[in-house]
Amino acid sequence: MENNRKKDLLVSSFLVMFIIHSNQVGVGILGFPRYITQYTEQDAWIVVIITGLIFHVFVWMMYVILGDDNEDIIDLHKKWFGSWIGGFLNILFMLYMLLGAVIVLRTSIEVIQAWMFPELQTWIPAIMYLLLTYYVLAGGFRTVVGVSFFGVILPIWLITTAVSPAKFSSFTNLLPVFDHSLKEFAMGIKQMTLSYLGAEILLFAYPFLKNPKKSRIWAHLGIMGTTVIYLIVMVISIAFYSDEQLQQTIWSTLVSWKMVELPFVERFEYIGITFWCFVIFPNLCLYIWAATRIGKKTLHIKQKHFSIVLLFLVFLACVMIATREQIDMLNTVTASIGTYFFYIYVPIIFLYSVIRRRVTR
Amino acid sequence: MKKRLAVSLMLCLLLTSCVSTEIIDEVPVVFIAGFDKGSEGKIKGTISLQRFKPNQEVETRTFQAEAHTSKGLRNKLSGVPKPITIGKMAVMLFGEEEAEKGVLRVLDSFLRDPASGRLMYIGVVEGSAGDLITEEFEYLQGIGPFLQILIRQSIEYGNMPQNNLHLFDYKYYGKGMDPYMPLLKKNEDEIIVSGLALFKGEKMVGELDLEEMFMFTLINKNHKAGLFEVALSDGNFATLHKVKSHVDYTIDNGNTSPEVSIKVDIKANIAQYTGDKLDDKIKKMIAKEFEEKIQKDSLKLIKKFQDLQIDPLALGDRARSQTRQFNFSNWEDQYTGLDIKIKPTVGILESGIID
Repeated sequence: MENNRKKDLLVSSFLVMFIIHSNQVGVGILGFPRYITQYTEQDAWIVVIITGLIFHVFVWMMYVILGDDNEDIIDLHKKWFGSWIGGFLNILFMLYMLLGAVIVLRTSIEVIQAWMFPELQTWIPAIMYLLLTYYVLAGGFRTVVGVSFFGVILPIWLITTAVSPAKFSSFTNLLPVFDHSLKEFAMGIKQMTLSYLGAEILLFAYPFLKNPKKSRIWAHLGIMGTTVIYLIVMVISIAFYSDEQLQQTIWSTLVSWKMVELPFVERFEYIGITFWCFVIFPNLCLYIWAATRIGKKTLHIKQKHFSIVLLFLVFLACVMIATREQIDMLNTVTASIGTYFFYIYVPIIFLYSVIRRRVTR
Repeated sequence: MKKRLAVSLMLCLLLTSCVSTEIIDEVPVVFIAGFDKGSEGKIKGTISLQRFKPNQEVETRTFQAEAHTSKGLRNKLSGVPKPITIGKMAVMLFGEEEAEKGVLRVLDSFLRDPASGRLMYIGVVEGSAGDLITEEFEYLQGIGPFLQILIRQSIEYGNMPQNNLHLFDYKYYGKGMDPYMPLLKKNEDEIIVSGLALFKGEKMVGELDLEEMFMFTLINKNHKAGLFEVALSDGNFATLHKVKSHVDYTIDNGNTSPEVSIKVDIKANIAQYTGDKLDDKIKKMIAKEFEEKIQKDSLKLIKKFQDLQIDPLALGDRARSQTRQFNFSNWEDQYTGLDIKIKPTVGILESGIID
């Protein structure tokens, strides 16, 4: 194995919970309810749970795919499909990771521009973010994991702010339960998949865990954490907004923060958005870290140098995207790529790995 | 390498001043704004500004202008030092005529602007909102904060249903419900709440007086209302206070021929009684007569809503939540002729410290 598993590069197994959870929760949570309710209205919270369960299955599949040999998906691609096809798949993966980084960064900058500083140009926060990302990446995987740990712990108190909109909510909006067709649920699940994307980071982080086989439970707990947070946001959004009103609201979670009353600050959103930077940051670090891993193993470029190239590409892409429509389109594109990845690619390669291991044994 | 990093970090710090600053001591803060119908379809806006002076004094000034959009008003307010911040705005008022024409052309800009709050109170003024704001009342804290407290206390301790910008927006966009706002009036040298303005969509179509508003609040949602005076058939009067209502709406056959029944469970204390002795018999009588009054008045109230073709009680939404595959167009066809039953039960808890 090219991984000689140096002890000081590894992280504790339980941290996989934070890695997966922090990579899943990003900007989507600020506005996802309206995309789901457009199909399933008051039943949207069921969609959140179902999609969460589906992702538990995906996590299980990914663990089977990864096997016992402390290899990541990059090694497996090469081993199973040869260096040409495997390499090609790896490059596709890398582009997907970069797309993930771009979408997270650009959307969060859009939030800052729309809510706090309308005159702020895109490149300024982009540079600040990416420089910081480089600093973290230069520290290696352990630093990246540290960032994702704090990216979960520091902003976790924001959940308590759900109390304020709840005071103005009518929870009868959740009734009647199960009043939509299977097709509508399926459409909702397809939309919801975008918010759960990010669990694929497991395919890259796996060999860095001290005890990969025992980390399973933690990975599932990570997904569960995401489901619970999404469920709270969804239930509050359904109860707080009337249906049509929610469809009008781009960032429903942010608007519901307008209900928070504090003696020292009139607009709580400003505090919320600022803390949101902690949530965005691990996404960025993890995605670009995964992309540099691919660069190292497929193109044999040193991770540190390669990360500069990638960060520059992400920067260019972010500056070029200017309007709400473009950002929305990018989200739709990523949503469909991610959906195909999880619903088609993961099951196929899962079956392949099972069959292949049977045959070679 | 380290040097380069340090330089680039410094660059970041320098770049942060690229957006305009707003310093609280320098920007004028709008507390209250009023909108009336202007000439040629324009909006006449009146704002009351507060500036915080170094010696802790608050200076209040009012300005007026006309424009087609409420954001356009900002440009026209030539006498005002800019930029105007609306983040602290607490009350928004509409003149009656403007409310009848439609309030959304003004509200749109406040709902769109991330700086504006949604806990802001909105209300309709009998007559002109501008005149009310420019009038020099003797309120120490200024008219904006005064009105904010007036409306808040009417909701918390009085007989006014909960309302703010968010809830108006909620009911405006929600299916099977219609919004309302408090109705205010200038009474000689003070401002009073005179009732509730009823809206159909964005347009004001009717109003409730104070007694109707009390009934509405009682049967609309679980509420802790203030005082209410009951006229008894024997010529005496009893005043109830801490009137607590618990409502339960049941709607059957929502998609075919809906049957609405409203159970209202009321607990109240007696604060005053003009007769001789307040024994159990009299208490029962008071409760019974109050029940009859609720029965009669709230049916009249609902009839009024049906005649106006509005649904401030959100009956349509309640029907939706109790009916599978709810059909709104069928409901709307039947709404005006709906048969609605009300079953009030009144319980008297306490009657003060004497009998």
